[in-house]
Formats: sequence, structure tokens, C-alpha cells
Amino acid sequence: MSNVIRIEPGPHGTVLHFEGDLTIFQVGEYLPQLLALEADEESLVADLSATTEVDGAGIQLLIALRKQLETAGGRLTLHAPSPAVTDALVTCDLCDYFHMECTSEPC
Amino acid sequence: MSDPVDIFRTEAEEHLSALESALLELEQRPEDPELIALAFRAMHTIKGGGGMFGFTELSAFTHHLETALDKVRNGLFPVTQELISILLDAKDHVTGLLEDPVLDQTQILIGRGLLERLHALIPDEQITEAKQTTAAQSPAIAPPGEEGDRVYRIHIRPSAGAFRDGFDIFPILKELQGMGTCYVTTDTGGVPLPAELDPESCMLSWDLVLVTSQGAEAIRDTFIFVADEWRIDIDPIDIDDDQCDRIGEILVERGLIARSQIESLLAENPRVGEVLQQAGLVTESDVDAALREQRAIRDTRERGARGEQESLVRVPAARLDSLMNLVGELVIVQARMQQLAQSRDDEAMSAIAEDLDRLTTELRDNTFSIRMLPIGTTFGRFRRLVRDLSRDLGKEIRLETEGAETELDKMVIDRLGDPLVHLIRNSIDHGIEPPEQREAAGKPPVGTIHLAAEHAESHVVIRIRDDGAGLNTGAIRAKAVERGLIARDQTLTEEEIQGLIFEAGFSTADRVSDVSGRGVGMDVVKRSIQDLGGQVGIRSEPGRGTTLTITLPMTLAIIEGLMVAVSEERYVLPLSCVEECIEVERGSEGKRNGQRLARVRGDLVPYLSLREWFAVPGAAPGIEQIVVTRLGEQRFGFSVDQVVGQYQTVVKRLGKLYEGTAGLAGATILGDGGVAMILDAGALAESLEDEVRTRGRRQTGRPPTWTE
Repeated sequence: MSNVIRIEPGPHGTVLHFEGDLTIFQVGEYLPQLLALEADEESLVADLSATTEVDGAGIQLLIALRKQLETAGGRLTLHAPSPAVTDALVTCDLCDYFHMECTSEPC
Repeated sequence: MSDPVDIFRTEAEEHLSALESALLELEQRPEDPELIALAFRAMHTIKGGGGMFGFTELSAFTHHLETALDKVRNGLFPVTQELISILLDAKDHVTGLLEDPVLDQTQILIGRGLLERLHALIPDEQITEAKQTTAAQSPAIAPPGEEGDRVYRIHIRPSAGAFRDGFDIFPILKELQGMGTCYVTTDTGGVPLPAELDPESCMLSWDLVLVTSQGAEAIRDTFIFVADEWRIDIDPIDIDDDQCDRIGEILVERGLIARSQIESLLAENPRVGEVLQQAGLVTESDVDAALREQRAIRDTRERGARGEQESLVRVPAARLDSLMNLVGELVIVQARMQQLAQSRDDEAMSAIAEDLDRLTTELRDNTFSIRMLPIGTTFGRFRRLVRDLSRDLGKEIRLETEGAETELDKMVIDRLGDPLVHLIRNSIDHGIEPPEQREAAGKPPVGTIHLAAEHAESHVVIRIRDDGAGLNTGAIRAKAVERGLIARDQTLTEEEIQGLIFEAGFSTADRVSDVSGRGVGMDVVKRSIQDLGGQVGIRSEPGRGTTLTITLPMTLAIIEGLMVAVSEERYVLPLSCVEECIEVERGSEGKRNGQRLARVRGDLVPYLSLREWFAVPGAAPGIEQIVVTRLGEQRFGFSVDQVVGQYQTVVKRLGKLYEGTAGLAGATILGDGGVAMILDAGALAESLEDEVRTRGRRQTGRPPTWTE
């Protein structure tokens, strides 16, 4: 699977589909696109259901996004994190830090 | 071992040996309160168990000892040489009572005598009164977490370039989490908003609280690859400190706030964390991390109070052996699987084989580690030996030990005890001189025996060094000639003469004392060590002392071998003794008295043809390989068709019928299902050496002939 970010509108805010790896290589690549998003974006949903691998840099990106939205009074939701993402979040004990939506429904 | 009485016996024996080492240590450090407490605890436990399992006499006797020790513990009486001697004798008496709870006349007298001696030193008043004191004090004797878990605070701040350098935090966190109970707090405070985010820089840091039985070194090892660049702080937390579980205290210790800041705020609101956070002095994740640490400390304390007993399980050795056997079989099957996967060129299968390989290796290491014990468990009995024996002989000897934590297979340790006792007895009896003789030689009157163990690659090296008189090579030589071990005019190096003491029936003791000279010679020691796959060597300097070096494999269950082939047959030689491999063309070999000899860089090395020895059918190839092994001081070769290569394998026993076959140490099953014999190089060489020696003696003085 190739590593892409698909940005689509959704019912609860813009959805960021992180597909494939979310590691240091992708973070640098995705960041300009994420910054280009409307600054007043209230809420974002990160669809992590198809994320195959995540590293510290990937988690750091999610943290930065959460901070951004918090400042704007919005919320970042992690949607259906894949086993790789869940594992990383559990290892760092960040499950409570993020707003998580654990469901098998596509968004 | 399900009989509770047996279990009590085993446990009591353990307590007794703990008591013994505590007493011997006390002799060195009579003021050490921990040792006194330990001795008291041992007595207390034995007394309790004895009463419960019907050892009435034992219980009554130990009660007196316990009472006396309690008084010593409370500082009413000092620890004296006399007291320790009585207690050591009493310990022996208790050992006797354990074996046979019904007293005979002698035991009654011994017991009475001991108590008289004891009460002469420490008078016994009201027994009932004493009972009350001990009952009141016993609950407090076990310090919490004595042998159990420790709590560490770990702060990890990766270097900014960590991600760029290719290091990730997750493997490290996972490894730490595998070491025990781990509470992780990720400090996200340093992460900027996306606009300022450098995607390749690490701005995160982590605070961990790890509850583990492992030491700080093991934790530090986790960071071995990143230690230079990252900031890693590992602090053990003293959980016995009453204050340490206060949130404010934790935050101060972590260097986040000043104590004075807390104190002023505390006056207003007792919930420090909340207040500090509201006041903006610390962040949410700081408090979070501190809360976790608090939880870890309290949990560990609670567990310490409950006692960690439930985490220890006694397992019969036979069950462990059968587990080992199964793991051994699994390792072999796994090797076959891997070979098959390789030959099939099937990726999916190879992946499974690799996974299986990883798991099997882990399983094997884990299983073998169950059998590993620190060698220090045997050191205790040597302390007693040295103490008692040196007194009997009127010598003053100090035993120094080193590397007690070195781990060895339990089976090796069990079988090593007797040879070690013998060697230490020898050092005490023959090595160390009486004080006056030592002083005359300008040495300190107190002799030293140094017992050291250490790991060296896959081996354990044990050294017994004394600063005694050293070996009298002249006397050894004379004795060897007298016994017919060497020819009168044979030239031998100093080392060769020293090595003679390992020959059968050799004893240089001028007099037969109670100690040595019981007919058990150094040859038996050598043989026992060789049976364990080890080697023993001796180095002695006249007037300076003697050092015995024992090299042992860590386990008998796995062998690091060199596989060789003769026709279709495969054999494994222990790699530890292999020195080199050379090629010999057929027809170039020499012979002396029917003994094959190969020229190895100018030296003649006797060798044995495996093809001949095992009567393998077929003709030898034009060029044969000779594997040269070093057995102690000598070299010995084995000629084979082909050297296959290094081979690590699990040793399987040969079964009743073939066990004890000279020259075979065991067998192994190869990847293709075939069987390879594991050779005992020492035993094979010995049988040949004996032959050569018999022949050599008949033709003394004649130089070897090189027939070509």
C-alpha cells in the first residue's frame, strides 16, 4: 500500500485519512498540506484505520494537531486507530490524551 | 515432593544454611544488625515450622536459641567468638534433629550441653516472658521489599535529532515495559503547534516509573545505543521513606518545583497537585507523572507487605528435566524445519520457520535460565569448611570470595561441590603454612584462600588461589618416579611436573591427616571436572602459593561443537577444546609404538583415526583433516574425512544401554533426521594416552622415530 494522506470533508469536520505508514518520512511530506488547511478549521478527524506503521514523529504530529485544534477551541478525533497506532498510543499511554473513536464504521 | 514434612525439611535446611552464612559473616562483622536479624529470623522460622510439623524437640531447642538471639538483637549481649561457635554447633545439632525427630541418648546430651554453654553466656530468665517479647516483635522483622521489586524513576529526553538519526522511542519503551510494571507518562509540553513543528525533530520526553526486580544496570542497558545523545536519568526510589509517596515530595524530587513553594500552598489546600497546576507551577502531565509514581510506590509497598512469597514456586527437578528435554526436542525439530524451509525456497514457509526459530531460541534460553543458580550458593559451605578446618589444624586462614553471583547450571553446581571441597581442603591442609612458618618466611600470619568465579564467553572460570608454600616440585617428581608414573631421567618442564598431581593414585601428603589423604586424590577431582565437560589446571610458585583454575561450560544441556564427517557418519567435538584443523596427505603420517603422529608446525601430535575407532566402512580420502584439540596441557588430534563446521546443539543422552560408553558424551539429532555422536575428546585421548604410556615406558629414553 502506498503512503498517502487523503483529505476529505466529513459530517463532523474534515477527515484526514492517513493511509499506509505515518512515520518521519510522511510527516514532513504531509505537514505542508495540513498547514494549508483552513486555519479556522474547528474539528478534524484523523482516520487511522488504514495506518500500517507509526513512529515517534507520527505521534508527535498528532499531538501538534491536537494542540492546534485545542487553541482554536476545536477537537481532534482519532478515528478507528489500527493495531499499529493503538499499540503506539498504549505504549506511550496517550489513549486518554486524545479523543478516540473506536469503531469499525468508516467515516 | 508433596509431603509437607519434606517441604518443611527442605525449607529448614535452607534457613539453616542461611543461618550458617550469617553466623560466619558475623564473625567478621559482629556489629552488623542485619546479620543478627537474619540469624534470628532463621531460628524463628525453623522453630515455628518445627512446632507445626511435630518436631517437638527441635522446636524446643530452637526456642532457646531464638530467645538468646533476640537478646543479642536487642543489644543486651554482644556477639562473641564463643557465642558464634555455640550457635554453629547448635546449627549442626538442629540439622541432626531435622533428620531424625526422635532423640537418642547422645543427641539429648549434645543438646543439653549446648544449652548449658549458651545459658552460661546469655542467661535465660522467664521463658514465658521471652515468648511474649518475641511474639510482639516478630511481625516487624521482614523489611518490606527485601528481595523483591524496586521502584525506579526514569526520565527520557531523546536528542532533538533522534528521529532523524533513525532512533525510535517505542522499542525502548516496550523493552522497559517488559521488565516489570511500567507507568509511562508522555510529556507533550514541548511539542509546538503544527506551524512551528519541525517534523524531524523530537520534542517529546517521557517520564517512567518502573517497578522491577532488575537492577539499574539492566535498565541502563536498554539505552545502550542512544545513551550518548539522549538525556537519560535513572533514579531508584526509596519506597521505605514515609514521605516518598506524597505528591508534593515527588514533584520536588523531580526538580519541578521548590519545597518552599509547596509549603506555602499546602497551608491553603491539601491537594497539592491540583493547586500547583492551577497556580501554573507545574503542568498537567507533570502531575500525571507524579501521580503514577505515587501509585507505583503504594502498589509496591502493599505487595511488599503482603510478601512476595506467592511469586515463588517450588518445582521438582525431574519436572524441570522433562521440560528441558522437550525444549531440546523442539530445538531439533525447529532446526529440521528451517532446513526444509531453506531447501523449498518457499517464502511463506521461511517466514514461519524464522518466527519459530525466534520463539524456540527464546523458549530455550528461558528454560535454561530456570536451571541457572548463582555459584555463591555453594560458597557458604566453604566458609564453614575453612573456619573449622583451619582451627583444627592450628592455622589462621581467611576465605575471600569473588563473583558469587556468577550463574551456572544447577546440575553443574551440584556436582561441583565435592571437587571444590576437596581442592579447598587441599589448600588448607597442604597449601597454607602454620602461622609461625609463615612469619618466618616473611608472610602475614593469616593465610588467604581466594575463591573466585567469573564468566568467560560461554564458560565459567573458577579460581582457587592460596598464598601458601606452593607445590614442592622436587617431592612430586620423586613421588612420580617412585610410583612409576615417569622415568627417572625423563625431562619434564615445571608445569608438567605440577600436572602430575592429577595422575591416579598420587598423594604428596607427608602425613595422613584427618583431612586429606583419604585415598581421594586429585585424579578424582580431575575426572569429576572432566565429566562436567570442564578442565582443571594448576599453577604454582614456590613460596608464593598455588592457583587452581577450573573451566566449566555454563550448562551441560547445550554444546557448542565442531561437526566433522567420516564417510556418511557425523560426529560433534566440543568446540571449547578444538585448537585448529590441519590437512594431512595419506601416507605422510608418522607412527610411534603404533600411535599415529601428525606434524603440527614442527611438533608431533598424537592422533586417533575416527574411521578406525568407530569402524566406519569405506576407505579414507586421499587428504584427511586432523582436528587438533587441547586437553589440559596436551594436544591431541582426531583424523576425519571432512570438517563440516560449527554446530550448536542440545545434548541428548544416549539411553541406558549406551550410557557410559567410553568416548561418547551424548548424541544429537541433525536437521535431516540423522544422528550425530557427541565425542568426549578427553576420554578418547586418555584411552590412547594410556596405551602410549605403557609402550613408552618399556622403551624409555629412546627418542621418537618419525617414520616416513
